[in-house]
Amino acid sequence: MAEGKPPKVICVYNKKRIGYIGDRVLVAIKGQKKKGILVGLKQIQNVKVPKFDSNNVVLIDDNGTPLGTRIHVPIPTILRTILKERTHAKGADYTKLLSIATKFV
Amino acid sequence: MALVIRKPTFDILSAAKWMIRKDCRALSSLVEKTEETEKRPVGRRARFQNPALEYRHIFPEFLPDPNPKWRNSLREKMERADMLKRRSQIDIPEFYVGSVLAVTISDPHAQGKTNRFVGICIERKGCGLRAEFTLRNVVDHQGVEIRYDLYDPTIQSIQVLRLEKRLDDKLFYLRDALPEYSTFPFDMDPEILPEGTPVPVNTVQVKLKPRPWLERWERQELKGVANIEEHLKEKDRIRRELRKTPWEKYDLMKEYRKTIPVEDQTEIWGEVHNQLNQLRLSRKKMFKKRPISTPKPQLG
Repeated sequence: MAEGKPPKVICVYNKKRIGYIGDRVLVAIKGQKKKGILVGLKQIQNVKVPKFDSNNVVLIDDNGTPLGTRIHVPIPTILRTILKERTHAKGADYTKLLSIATKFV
Repeated sequence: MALVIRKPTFDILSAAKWMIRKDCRALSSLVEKTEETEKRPVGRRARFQNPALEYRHIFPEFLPDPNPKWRNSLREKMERADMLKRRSQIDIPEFYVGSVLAVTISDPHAQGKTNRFVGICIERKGCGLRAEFTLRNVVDHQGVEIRYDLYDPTIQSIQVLRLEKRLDDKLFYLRDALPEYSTFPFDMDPEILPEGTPVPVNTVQVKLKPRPWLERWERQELKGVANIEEHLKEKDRIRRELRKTPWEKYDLMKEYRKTIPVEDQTEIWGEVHNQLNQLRLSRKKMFKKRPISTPKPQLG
């Protein structure tokens, strides 16, 4: 993010309150609170799951639709499976962010 | 890499002398200093006399963990048999930290069910079937690292695109270096070395980004970093001096504890030597059979 304070994850929506890949988070960005999905982490990952140099978040709204139109960072392929599992028939559909990804690793 | 005797390969003569005398079990580090300069031009051919000295660098995962708590001769033997079985299925080439690899895995999450990643090997660790390596690349201005198990059954192929070594055992400082030092194109063509040449050592020295860093690189005595001094303050230099442990290289017991003794090594290599040699020969045949074709121009 170029302008203002760097965005900050202020809550992780799971029981452990520790963010792992594919988790829904609350982000403080430009003085607002937005929902997001963790799509890349610096922490040590399992074998064959990529580890990134920065923590990456894709902002979404409550239905799971991404707020932006493009994702410039590579997306781990394991997110396809994780997000499909988290998507329920009538609830939020998180798989929409996969379709705007430009590159998978 | 704690399991291998941490030695450059060119101290064979000294090692042989020591083995004859039989009074030393692990190769001591004192010898390294004195013999380092003279035996540089010894080619790969000459090293075939003693397979142990050759193999412990090419196949470091065949040596067990030197910690006596975790030694179990039966498990080690079975693991070696499994590793050889896996090696007869796919070709696991010789590579080192600093080599550029392309790894294709079958990935149930990917669209085409296979996933290919290219990157520089920044770390090799673990022994036996748990051996793993880490590849690093910069994709779309974002550093990506992926860890693979060497004997993972989902690996379809491991290809060495550039076979070389770097000045250090681990290249974690590439995370703090400028991105061009760890950027490799995914459509890189493999560079084939002529037969019998020693593995080249890439003496490139990377430039670090300004602080903050992920680790205290200045305390690690890295050879592959060029501009570490200009980011340091006086305080860091003083602390570095205080933290230095120059006596450690004379600590024979420490060296002994983190290496596998030569007698154990000859036993292990004697067990796997035949099969490894056969695999190598069959691979050479396959390589010769393959028709030489010019690489296709990349479309689109």
